[in-house]
Amino acid sequence: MAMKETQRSGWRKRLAGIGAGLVVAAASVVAFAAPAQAAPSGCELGNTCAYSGYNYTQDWFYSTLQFGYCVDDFSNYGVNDTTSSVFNNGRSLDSWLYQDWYAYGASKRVYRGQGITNLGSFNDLATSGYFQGYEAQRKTWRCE
Amino acid sequence: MIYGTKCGRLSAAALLLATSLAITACAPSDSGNSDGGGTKNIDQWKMPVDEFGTYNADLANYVSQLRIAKCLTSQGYEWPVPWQNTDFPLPADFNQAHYRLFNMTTAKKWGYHFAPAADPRSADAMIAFSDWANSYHPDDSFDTKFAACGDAAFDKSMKRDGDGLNYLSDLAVQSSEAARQDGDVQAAVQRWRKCLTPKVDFAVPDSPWSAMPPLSVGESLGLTGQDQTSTASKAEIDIAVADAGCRDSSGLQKTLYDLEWDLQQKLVKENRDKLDRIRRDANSHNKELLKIVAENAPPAP
Repeated sequence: MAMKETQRSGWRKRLAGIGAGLVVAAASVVAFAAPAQAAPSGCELGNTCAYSGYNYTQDWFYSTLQFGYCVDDFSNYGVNDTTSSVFNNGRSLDSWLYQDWYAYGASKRVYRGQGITNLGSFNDLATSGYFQGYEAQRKTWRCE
Repeated sequence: MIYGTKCGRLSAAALLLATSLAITACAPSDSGNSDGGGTKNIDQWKMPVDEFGTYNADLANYVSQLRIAKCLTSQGYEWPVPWQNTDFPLPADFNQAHYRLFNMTTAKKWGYHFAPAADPRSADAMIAFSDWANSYHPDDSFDTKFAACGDAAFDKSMKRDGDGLNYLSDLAVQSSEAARQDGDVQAAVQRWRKCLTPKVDFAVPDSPWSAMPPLSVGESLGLTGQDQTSTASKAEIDIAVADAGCRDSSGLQKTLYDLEWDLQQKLVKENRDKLDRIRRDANSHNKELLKIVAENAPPAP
């Protein structure tokens, strides 16, 4: 799948369709840490990546989306209501998936550095996605 | 066509909930407590499950960042985590369960636009830090070291309570999806469409949650697209007020709320032991997190 990137207002809109796959990465674990989750291959550091298949793969929807700030409407990228797994490879913030666009509806939190391999009852429901804090006035101009 | 169909998804969610409730009906309750939920508040879209979501995940992420800072600075890197308001107040258009509100009050104030950050000093500081962090690439080995520090910073208690919070989300989305399919709700949706159609100059979507306002209207209002605005225009507020008014007069808002409430109340009853454990763990954990922040966070500016 071709990469998609856009430019606006001097900000690099870190949003891209990507090919999905799995990767095993080395990760240090200390005594108190939860089991480390390796970021899926192709999910860039700083982004949240949403996959149409379980376990960070693509199913017959063949869709994957990654974003660095926020996406008001997944349908703009042909991935509305297709997400089955998600990974937050951000550096500093948790991220959210929402049932409806513009952050309306039920939501699912994705912790920084963590993923959800099977969204369960939230499967194929995500329509918008935001890193924490971008659901507030003056931040949304970064959203796609 | 690669889009999923709402119908298929809704059916799956409804089946989950129906199965869940059927089990509840057959199983003896050992809670011995109230059904949960307390007093209804439709303006805040308060739900029975909400009271169990006490885990302060924002605080946990802050602690995680402070740990990452300690780990990275010991290796000679920068990681200037800013001061944060540890209450982590949400914008006024979100309730405490992180559910975005839409009603006459929000429509009049902000249209469909987001409300301002509740504590701009704290929120802006974290966004500025996030921007800096995303562009910080001091050397080729940094990403690997960051990943190691990040993994170590997210501890087992965070995993446990994060999973607990997402379990509550699962219950909430089950009840939401099931309620949206209900016949009374669907009838109210039709009344909402009939009410709103003569008040706006665009085709009213099938439901408020399928696409309201429609994409092309959202672009013209500055909600999305190339010409986004940070605040709502009068035209947008007029549409939002009409929308909110029709959700009220059609009975949609109340029918949906009451049904979701009832469904969640049943789910609370069914899962009471687990929910109590989630809340108990979270409350204890929150105290530990606050202690860590007090000992490690930078002072308020």
